[in-house]
Amino acid sequence: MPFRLRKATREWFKNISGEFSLDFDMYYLCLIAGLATGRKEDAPASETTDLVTDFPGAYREKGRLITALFLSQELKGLGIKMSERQALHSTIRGLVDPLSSSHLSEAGLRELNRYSFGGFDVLTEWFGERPQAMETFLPLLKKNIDRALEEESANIG
Amino acid sequence: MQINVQILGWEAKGLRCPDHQVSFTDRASKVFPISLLQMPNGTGKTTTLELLRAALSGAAEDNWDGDKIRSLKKRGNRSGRGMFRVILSYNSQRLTITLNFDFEDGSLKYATTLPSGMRAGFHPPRELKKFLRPEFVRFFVFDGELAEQLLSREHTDAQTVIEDLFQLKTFSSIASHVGAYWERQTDGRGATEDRGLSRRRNRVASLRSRIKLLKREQLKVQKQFEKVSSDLREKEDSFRTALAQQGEIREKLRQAENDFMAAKAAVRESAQSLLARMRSPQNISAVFAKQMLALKENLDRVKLPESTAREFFEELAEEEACICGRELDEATRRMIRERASRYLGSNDVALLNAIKGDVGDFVGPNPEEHETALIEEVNELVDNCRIEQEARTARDEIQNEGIANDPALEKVRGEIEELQDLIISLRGEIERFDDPTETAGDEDTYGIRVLERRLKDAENKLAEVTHTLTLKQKRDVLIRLLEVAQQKAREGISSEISKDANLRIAELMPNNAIRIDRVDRSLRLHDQEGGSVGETLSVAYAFLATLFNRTEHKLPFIVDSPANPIDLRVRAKVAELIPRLTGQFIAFTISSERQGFLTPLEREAKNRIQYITLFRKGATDLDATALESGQAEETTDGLCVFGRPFFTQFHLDSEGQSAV
Repeated sequence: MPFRLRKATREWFKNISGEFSLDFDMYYLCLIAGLATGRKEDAPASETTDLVTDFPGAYREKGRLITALFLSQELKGLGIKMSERQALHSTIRGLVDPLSSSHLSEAGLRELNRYSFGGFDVLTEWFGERPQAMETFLPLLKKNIDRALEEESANIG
Repeated sequence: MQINVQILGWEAKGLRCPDHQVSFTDRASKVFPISLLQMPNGTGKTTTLELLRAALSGAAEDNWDGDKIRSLKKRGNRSGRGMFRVILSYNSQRLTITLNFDFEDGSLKYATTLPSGMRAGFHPPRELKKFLRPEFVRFFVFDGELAEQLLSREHTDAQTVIEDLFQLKTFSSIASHVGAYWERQTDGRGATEDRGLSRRRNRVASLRSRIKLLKREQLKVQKQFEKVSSDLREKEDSFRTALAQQGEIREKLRQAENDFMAAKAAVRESAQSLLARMRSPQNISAVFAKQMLALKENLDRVKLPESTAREFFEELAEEEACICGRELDEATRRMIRERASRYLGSNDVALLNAIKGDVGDFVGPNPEEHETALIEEVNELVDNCRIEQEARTARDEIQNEGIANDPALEKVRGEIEELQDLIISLRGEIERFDDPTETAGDEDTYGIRVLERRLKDAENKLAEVTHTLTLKQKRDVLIRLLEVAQQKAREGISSEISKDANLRIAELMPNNAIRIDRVDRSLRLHDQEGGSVGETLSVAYAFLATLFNRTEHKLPFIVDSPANPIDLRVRAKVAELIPRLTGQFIAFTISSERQGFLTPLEREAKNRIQYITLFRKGATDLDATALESGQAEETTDGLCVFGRPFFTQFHLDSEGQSAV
């Protein structure tokens, strides 16, 4: 199963996509927004497009870190405590697949894609309009991620 | 048979450039492989290039209006007439194209002369028609603007030139004939028993006509966008040139432009560096870093993954006795197998250990330090944006100073701003045709792809009732095959051209890793988005030279200021490449371009270079020196001097300066 991108994502990033060296950058930035807010969405296959089956280029050596962040977010979302060894064990087993080039099972990649789909909605809400320049987009993205993570921790607290 | 096109010469009379006649052949009537035509700025270099493009493409007859035509009239031209003529040779035959201007009427007429005689109008021979078209001529009568467009995702020039040259549109033309055949078949069916037939036919017809209309509009807007972009660049160039002619601010403005460009580059570089840092999630936020570290530590705490893998228990269940020595019965074996599934397999264990290892290595003991480093980069980017803004303001202030000295420039600036606004609005119009919104009705939908999907559905429904479904399926297969064939042909040709062009680039810039990766609308570079001006120009030269210098055809290459935008180091490399680019290379130059360019060019070209200097008469000393050279041709307002000595002694970049 490949990483999938919502078609509207390309359209939304079109003014700065020339600055990305990989289409996966768009997927990743949506994913980060989805993971920061814990937002997942479904998207019909007709509205998405296949990207790659493994972590490409600069993401190759970061793949396992992204998996770690995804696992911890998924465990948090499912309300599994780290002390619940059995639940922890079976959840992780269901999400990873050591033989897959993405390190994730089909179910795991489906969930990761859902974070990226949801993250795209988050980005459109944060920014309203399409980003016009990378130099203004990235600092503002960082600010929004910080705010989302703060709200998340305040809610938990 | 190879088609070899060469420019033998041209002649201009009564036009904005000085009257002149140049021949690019030697005494033995052989074309010089390299001709350098030195013309100071303001002598009508742009006009000459424009006339050359118009003569070679036949475009002026329909596209130039009275104002445009009159704008080309020489000041003081009393006859009210003008003429531009270009003489070509193709496979040893002569072709002459003449543009005759009537400035009083604001009209022009073409005349074409072939060995068979002269005909009114633009009538190039059949074998040259595919080259002598407006869309194509601009590729071999080339300027820096096109170099940028070849690498810009907003333009499709690189793909267009390949499709034109290799006639890939033949595939789509066959596909449209196939489509028309099916339409005729469905039109002929009269399945009156189905009451829905005419409704379905009408839907197909209305969708088809809407798609056709939108595609026509899309093309129109795209063309308008390209025209406005080109007009904007032209206006900006003339604005800059006019400012630079104000001696007192020229140096200040040049410095301010350089500062602004450097600030812009710094912004781009720091944005890229920030993006690279953000590709590691632990850098984005300490919260992420802590979350990953907590996962690792908690897995350690609950001893996951276990040191014993599932396979150990599965194998144990096959043994006669347990490792403690106790004999295993069937019930115990079943229990061991069942519980084995609670353990991770050895591959899972290895993966989890690798994940924990990466978290340990990349996040480390201090999860906050990564975000701190990222924040520093964010601050640096914000600072660089501020510096860029300041540099822009400084440059604008100098421009304002220049505008205050020459109020006519205020109008030009207003026109530039209008064009910029127009570009934004046209960009919006272009985007409308890609709108993926599905919810609106056909008449309110502008997304062409959405309508094409609807048309496909509507055609299927029509085919059902007209009993032409099988025929439609055959049509779809055939059209798909044609599309795939076109795609494959485009990819194959593009890949071959890219490969050959990369060999030239490697030759041109051996220490630079810039390479063409593929042609996807524009030239897409390997692992990078764009290059410096020198790199862009070199990539564009290499690409076009590969296209124009093939076994099937050889075309001349006419370039405006080949060395002007590039720094001295790269100049020598470009100069060394030029003799190998094509069979005939004509360059318009200014005197300051010679530095770092002429010597390596002469060395590489083994002195098979023609030198021409063309300037407007008026500077008495200069005119006298030219006439003394014995190789000058004098016209009513111009002097055209042939030969290297005068060419190399000439030091005039723009009219109005004093020649040294």
